[in-house]
Amino acid sequence: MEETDHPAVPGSRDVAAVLRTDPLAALLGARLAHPVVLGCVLFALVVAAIVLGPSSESRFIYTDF
Amino acid sequence: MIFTTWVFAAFAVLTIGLYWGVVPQRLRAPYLVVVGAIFYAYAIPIYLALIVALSAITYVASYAMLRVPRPGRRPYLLLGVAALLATLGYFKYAHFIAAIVAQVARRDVLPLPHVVVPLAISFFTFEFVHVLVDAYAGKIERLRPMDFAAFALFFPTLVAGPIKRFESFAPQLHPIAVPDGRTVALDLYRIALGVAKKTIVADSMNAFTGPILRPGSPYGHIDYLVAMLCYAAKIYFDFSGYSDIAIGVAGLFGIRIPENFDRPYRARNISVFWRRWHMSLSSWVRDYVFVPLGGSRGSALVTAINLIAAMAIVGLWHGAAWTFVIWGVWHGVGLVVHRTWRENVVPHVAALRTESPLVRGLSTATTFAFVTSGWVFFAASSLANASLVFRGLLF
Amino acid sequence: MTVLRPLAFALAVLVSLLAIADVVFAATFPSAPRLSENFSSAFVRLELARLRAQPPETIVLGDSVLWGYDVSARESVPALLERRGIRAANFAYQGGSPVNTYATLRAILASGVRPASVVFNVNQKTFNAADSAYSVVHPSMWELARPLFSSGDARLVTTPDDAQTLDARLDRTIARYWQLYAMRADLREALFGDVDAGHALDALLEGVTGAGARRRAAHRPKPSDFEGTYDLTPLDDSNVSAHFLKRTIALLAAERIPAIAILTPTNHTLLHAYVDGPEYAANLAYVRRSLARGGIVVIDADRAFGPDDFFDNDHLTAAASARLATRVARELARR
Repeated sequence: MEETDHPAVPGSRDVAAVLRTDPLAALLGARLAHPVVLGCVLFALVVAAIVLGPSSESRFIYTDF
Repeated sequence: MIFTTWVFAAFAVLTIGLYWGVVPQRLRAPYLVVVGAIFYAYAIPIYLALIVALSAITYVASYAMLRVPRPGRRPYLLLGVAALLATLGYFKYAHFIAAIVAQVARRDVLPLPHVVVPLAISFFTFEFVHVLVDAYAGKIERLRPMDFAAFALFFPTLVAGPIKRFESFAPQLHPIAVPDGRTVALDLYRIALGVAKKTIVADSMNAFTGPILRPGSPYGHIDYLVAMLCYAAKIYFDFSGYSDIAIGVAGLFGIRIPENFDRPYRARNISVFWRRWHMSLSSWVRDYVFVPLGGSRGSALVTAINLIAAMAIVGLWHGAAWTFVIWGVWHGVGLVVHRTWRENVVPHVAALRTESPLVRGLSTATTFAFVTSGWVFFAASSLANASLVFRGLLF
Repeated sequence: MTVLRPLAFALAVLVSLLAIADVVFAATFPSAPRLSENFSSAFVRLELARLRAQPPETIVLGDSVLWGYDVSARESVPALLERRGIRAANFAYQGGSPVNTYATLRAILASGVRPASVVFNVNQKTFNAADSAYSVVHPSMWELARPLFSSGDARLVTTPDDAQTLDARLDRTIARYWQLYAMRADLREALFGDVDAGHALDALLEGVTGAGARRRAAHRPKPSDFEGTYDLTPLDDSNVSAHFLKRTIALLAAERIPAIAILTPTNHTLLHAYVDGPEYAANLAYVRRSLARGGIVVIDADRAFGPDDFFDNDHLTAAASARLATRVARELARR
């Protein structure tokens, strides 16, 4: 699977490539850009993070970097 | 600032809002420098002086190299790199080195300093070394001070990467592109996804990784297996989630930064794995360690040594402990084995050259098992603990 | 500016949806038989609001012994009181201690809930300055009780170092307006029966692989595990736990609420080396005297249970909890 790089940034993925590879983004496609759709998706992610999140504090794994 | 905190959320919302709503286009790069400095100083204020000093040294040396023909650039490169590596060595590795010396000499020769490691020193050191080397090699045409300052203090990548390249970053400041609706949506989604990955998956895995972090009774085989799999999941979702947030936030500033992960656990072999895992680091090590060492241009033996050396450095970069070095060497040996396999076995076995699902599946599973086993060294607080995990898993 | 509009619009939709979810959440969140490990102040407020409408006969305060550690909610002492026809609200929680009992009682009374009686336990181990709950109030309860403490009393309470960081303060501010976030620990407890989904899944896995049973077998309590748990220094008013015990006694007397204090059952067989001396007995007597002087009925359960009635030094099995509940019910009936 080849992703097209953003012309200026080797290693970055442009919007089209991300939409192809991320399952949810691909599903919603251009509709994701609609503020209401996006707001609903963000809501679902936030609620999921709250319900399924951990009791202990989140700590980024690399802390002495 | 840790990304999944309210302080960071408030900081990001505020700085992005001001960036597009108040700050005029020509002041956006200086604005990035200022907010980056505030972000860095929030952790330990005094260390802001450190990153500023190292940025200044890097900038001056690089700028000088642009003005001087190639033969005369060497002293600047050597001095600049020496200053950076010496600083990194002191802050991050001094205790480790002193402990080794004490063990070898069987007494305390050097004092064991206990310094607080400056935030992100491993990351910005590598970014600065990249600028020095590329300036030396003539790959950088223009080095405006404001561009470099924004590059050095770009807060989305300041904590833990992705490791940026100056040649890709600087042009994006002239002018800073205003992202369209689709890109804004994607960046927001990316941030939310990163937060969800970190909280839902990565942090929840903490409940399972006890056996790998604190091995011993009463854990059984399954406990160790579950812990290893969960740690593999944790480290991926944690770091890729973090990278998602960094990339999304950077995107909301109109700046695209390199990706770090591309479904790495689906890699068919260890070489592909390292083209998909922590991509900004592996490409840095390829360009600034592996290739300068000779890369794969020499004999098979020399290539093998270069691979193992480069991966040992990758390991050591992650932490000042033998477990990290062993982890790196583990991967280095894996790369060598894979290379040997690919060049000496595969051409002679037709079955291995097919694209059959079985071959693909076995390859992916083997690679995953290899990588997951490697994480035991990465996670372990000591070699003794690592061996306890393996023993607990197998015997 | 053009970038901000879609951003602001999407965030506005998000915030609106969260606000609607909050209203639904607060209205439908179920009551819990006992407080979760990381209960939130928002949850306590919700429960107290419900209790205002229907005040309980008795409120149970104290630590994990009355909360029901290692037994299910249904087998805890307050639940058993309910089964014996006494409407009891379980406000005991893990990590309880005299300062926590006092803080909880103040918060409950300040919210306008007046129980007909109060039952609480006094655990000798909490008089030890090295005990984690000696002078530390559960952060959520402290949020509710702090404004009610006198400055002198508040000074005796230890608050965690990171409680005043910018992030902690932002967190509290956001929790004030966002119910779902504030009550996430309680929500997770209600959904998963554990502190979070990860731990619930891990417990399930432990059950399946047998690691749970192995862990429990490996960690059968030994006497040496409790070295230093009990401080045998003679108790006086300088002891923070003793101080807040007296505060509790005075408060109950001032509010004229009849109370029953349980001297916590202690596993004298396991702890023989530490708690069978005259110093322990003297401290127990000190507590008994203070309670009696305050007009509080004392159930001295210190030596009432044998080694088979305990999981460890003070947590009772289901059968033993039932016997304690019967005794408490009998005392309550007498009043």
